[in-house]
Amino acid sequence: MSNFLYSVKYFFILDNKGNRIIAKYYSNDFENVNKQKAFEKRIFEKTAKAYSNVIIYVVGDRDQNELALLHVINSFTETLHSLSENGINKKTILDNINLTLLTLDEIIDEGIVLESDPTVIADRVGIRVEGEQDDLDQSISQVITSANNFLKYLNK
Amino acid sequence: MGRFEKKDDDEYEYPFEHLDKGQVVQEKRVFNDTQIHPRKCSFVISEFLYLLARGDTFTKTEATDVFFAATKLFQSKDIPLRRMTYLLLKEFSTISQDAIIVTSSLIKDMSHKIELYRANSIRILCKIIDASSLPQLERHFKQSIVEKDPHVSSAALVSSIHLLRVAPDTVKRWANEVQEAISNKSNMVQYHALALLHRIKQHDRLAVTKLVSSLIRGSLRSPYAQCYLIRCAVEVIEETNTEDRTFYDYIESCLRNRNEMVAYEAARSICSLKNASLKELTSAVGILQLFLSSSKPTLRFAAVRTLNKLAQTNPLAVVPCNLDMENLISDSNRSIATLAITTLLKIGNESNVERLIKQISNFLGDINDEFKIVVVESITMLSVKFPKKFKHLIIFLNKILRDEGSLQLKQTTLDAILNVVNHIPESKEIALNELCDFIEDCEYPDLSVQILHLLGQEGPLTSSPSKYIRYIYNRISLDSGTIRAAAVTSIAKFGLLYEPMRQKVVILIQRCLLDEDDEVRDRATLYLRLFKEDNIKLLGRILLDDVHVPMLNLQRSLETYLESPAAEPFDISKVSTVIEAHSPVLGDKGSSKPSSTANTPKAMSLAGSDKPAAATGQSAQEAYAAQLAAISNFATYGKLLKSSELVELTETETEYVVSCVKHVFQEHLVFQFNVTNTLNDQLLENVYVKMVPSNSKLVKYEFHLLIESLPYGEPHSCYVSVRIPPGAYPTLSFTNMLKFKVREVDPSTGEPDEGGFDEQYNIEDLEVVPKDYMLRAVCPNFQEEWKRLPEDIQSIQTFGLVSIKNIDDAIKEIIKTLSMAPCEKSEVAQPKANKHILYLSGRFVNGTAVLTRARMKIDGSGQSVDVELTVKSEDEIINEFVSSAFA
Repeated sequence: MSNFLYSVKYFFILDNKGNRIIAKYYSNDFENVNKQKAFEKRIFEKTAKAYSNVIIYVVGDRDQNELALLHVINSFTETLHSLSENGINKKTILDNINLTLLTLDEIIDEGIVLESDPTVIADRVGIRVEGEQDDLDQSISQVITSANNFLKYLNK
Repeated sequence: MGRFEKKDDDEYEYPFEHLDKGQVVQEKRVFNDTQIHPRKCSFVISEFLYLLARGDTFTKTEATDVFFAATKLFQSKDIPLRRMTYLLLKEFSTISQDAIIVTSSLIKDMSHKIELYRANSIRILCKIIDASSLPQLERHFKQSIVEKDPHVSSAALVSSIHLLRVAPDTVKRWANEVQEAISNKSNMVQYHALALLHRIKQHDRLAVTKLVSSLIRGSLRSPYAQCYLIRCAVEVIEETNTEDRTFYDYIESCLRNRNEMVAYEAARSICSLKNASLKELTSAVGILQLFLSSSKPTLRFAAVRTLNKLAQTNPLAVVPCNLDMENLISDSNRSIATLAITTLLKIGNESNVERLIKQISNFLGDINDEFKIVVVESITMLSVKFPKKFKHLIIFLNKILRDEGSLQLKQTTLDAILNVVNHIPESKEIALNELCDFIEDCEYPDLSVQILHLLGQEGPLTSSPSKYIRYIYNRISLDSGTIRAAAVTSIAKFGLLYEPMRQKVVILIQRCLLDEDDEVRDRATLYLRLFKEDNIKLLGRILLDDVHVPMLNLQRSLETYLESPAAEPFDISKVSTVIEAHSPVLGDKGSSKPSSTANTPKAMSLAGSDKPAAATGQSAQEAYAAQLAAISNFATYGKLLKSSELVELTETETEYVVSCVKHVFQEHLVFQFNVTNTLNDQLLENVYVKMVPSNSKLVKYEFHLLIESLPYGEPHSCYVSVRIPPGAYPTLSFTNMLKFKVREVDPSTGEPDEGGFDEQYNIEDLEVVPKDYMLRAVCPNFQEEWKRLPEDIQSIQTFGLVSIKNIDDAIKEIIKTLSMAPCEKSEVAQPKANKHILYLSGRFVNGTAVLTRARMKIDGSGQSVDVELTVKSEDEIINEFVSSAFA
């Protein structure tokens, strides 16, 4: 049976120069960190660049349900969205590196999606949600664009 | 990409930018303070975690230090700090030594009143526990699994999934608790429980069927669980060939699920079913069609990708989406657009293909070279499907060739044109005309040389050869040395192949005698002399015959020769004639993936290990020869005559993966078994393969070489050597058993246990067949050789290739069975031909040249292909032997 359970193979966030900010590899496909980074560079070169200074990538198997991966990226960004008014960028990620990594840890356990509801995740991580998030919809659509940019590599 | 911030941030100094590992390791002393400062400690933990996420590595000693320093933080009651401590311990548990020591603290936390403690302690525990101590914790695990709190229950279930690899027998005892968890209210718990239960029962097909059929009647609400269940249902349908429609009906009902992920999973599953009927596909395609016009790019992408795949096997089912696909050609996301185009090309028909090509031409300017290459490759496929449309195809390809573009794109395009020319003879003249125009201002000398070569080869055979000469001669007056040399040769070919022009050609060549380039002058002088002597035969050999050995091998041999020049001159007869497996001569170029696309990481990681040929660029045979020469036991065996392709003896997903290469020596057969241990909790020792021959009189067992230690994940080879009588080429089969000693390994530390036990593992039978003694060897003038070889000892046999329904497959089958090299481009049949003649040449391991001719014809019923196989060589016994491959 093709593997739905181990949805995520790799998760990484690169800056606008293609340098790694953080990364997590859930399968041993690469011998060492340098090979991982070379892979990230290759994908970055194929990514259409936009205005942001970070790009979030979730990589799954070629048989993976693309929308399941989109959910992962949505859960991640929606959870972190409440951190800063400016939304997610290199500064908020690094300023809140503890919350960023905890969020990732609560969403993915060894490649398996552990939780997907942003409110639940924020609660487990200890992010205090203040007020309503009016622009949630907008952020979703942004995230979809981003998800799409890595999905195409799965087709290769 | 999220447009989250537009500020220019180049000068901004980010936190942690210059974080240094050594400094952070020093900072960990705050963990030791008698009065623990939660904020300070949390910050240092963040630093450690960031270092790991950034890619810094820690040695075992460093990691152990950090791990144990952090255990001190269990004393603090600060909840945020505890959460960070858990993450730190979890991340370092796998690199640190003796992590198992924190077990007792974690067990205490497993019954703590705060859920966060219970959930996270269990997640760490599953990483450090080993199979022998797990039974003592069973009670805790079972309790956590059935907890109401979803955080704890999910953590316990997912941890149990991980533990299945370490201690499957223990985890399997928890099935009742897991079953209970499926009815938990939380979506995620449902999902994790279902996944674990399915995995527990995985090897019991009946139990899986029962589980799935009970759940599809129930009411799982979790979208993840529903997706998982759909995949289980597909598995049941495919593996049991059940007549029961309930499984399919469930998947179909999911098409109408409100959650897009579930609806999409259902649709793509139906599309992937092997025996889906057109009617069944229609409803799935209908859903995907809706997605095609979604405002969300991921949805459009997912749908078009699935339809693209479906179009390969079932183009008719995708036709209803034609219009929506056409709209996607201009999609702002280029991946979607490209997939749409290639899908359209796959489902196109004779009547709309012209319009389609036009439409694509219109937007060519917007896409980059990489996507153009994909388009060019799909267009090439079309030439096979719609040979009548060659004119449009050639014009389209030529447009790409003329536009700005990288060398890679242009080379792909030129290859595509050559492909069309090879397939459709009528296209030759129009293609040549276009290419003549192209070389007038071609920026890549490589391409010019290839085109000049083609013009020389095909031009003289067209209806009006004279018109090409002007284009070729222009190159002599305008271009660089390499191109001029190619042009001289090209012109000489016209003189050779088209007699009416010979005089004019001689005059043109005369003009090149004073060329400033040595190569051009040399070529001109040689050709001129031969023309004047009227030595057409020699001229023909020089101009038309290819070198008798593959170019790649020749190049490599020459390079080796130059590195260490020997006293004797270079001897071309010593160059290997074995053609690489990837040689385009096999004619399956269209189906192979282009090298331009990104390698999957898996392919990259494999390249280094068990496929020596790919990594080093030398031929597989040479690599094996070097590998075996390094083993002293084989030193006296003489030259390696032939190495077979890799034969898989297990499925690739099994515990131990075994493949075999058969090596033939003068008086020995050596079997090289490549063994990979895929279990991270086992270390194998003294691994060897016990082989039992089907006929023990034919071979005599000599010795075996075992693998002393086979750790998880590293492929190693063991060998068995048998002696064969001189001059004999036995064919027989072997039943095989992998034998070894197992030692349990703690996956967290990598330390093997003492002791261990002997174990054996069934692997598939291995056959030694005639092709194992045959080398591919090109024969440049097949027909002449064929006439020369004696007819009275040739072997003729006729047989039917059952269940092969077309000529292309028959060609592939014959080449595969004989392992010989196709000659005279006979591996390419006319499109839709119902008969064909295939010429093959090879060299038997004793050096005898062997030629075969296979005449084939599709049987009247259309269910098989009839073949008449003639084998010729100087040796009657070899003829019979080669034929016996089809006996």
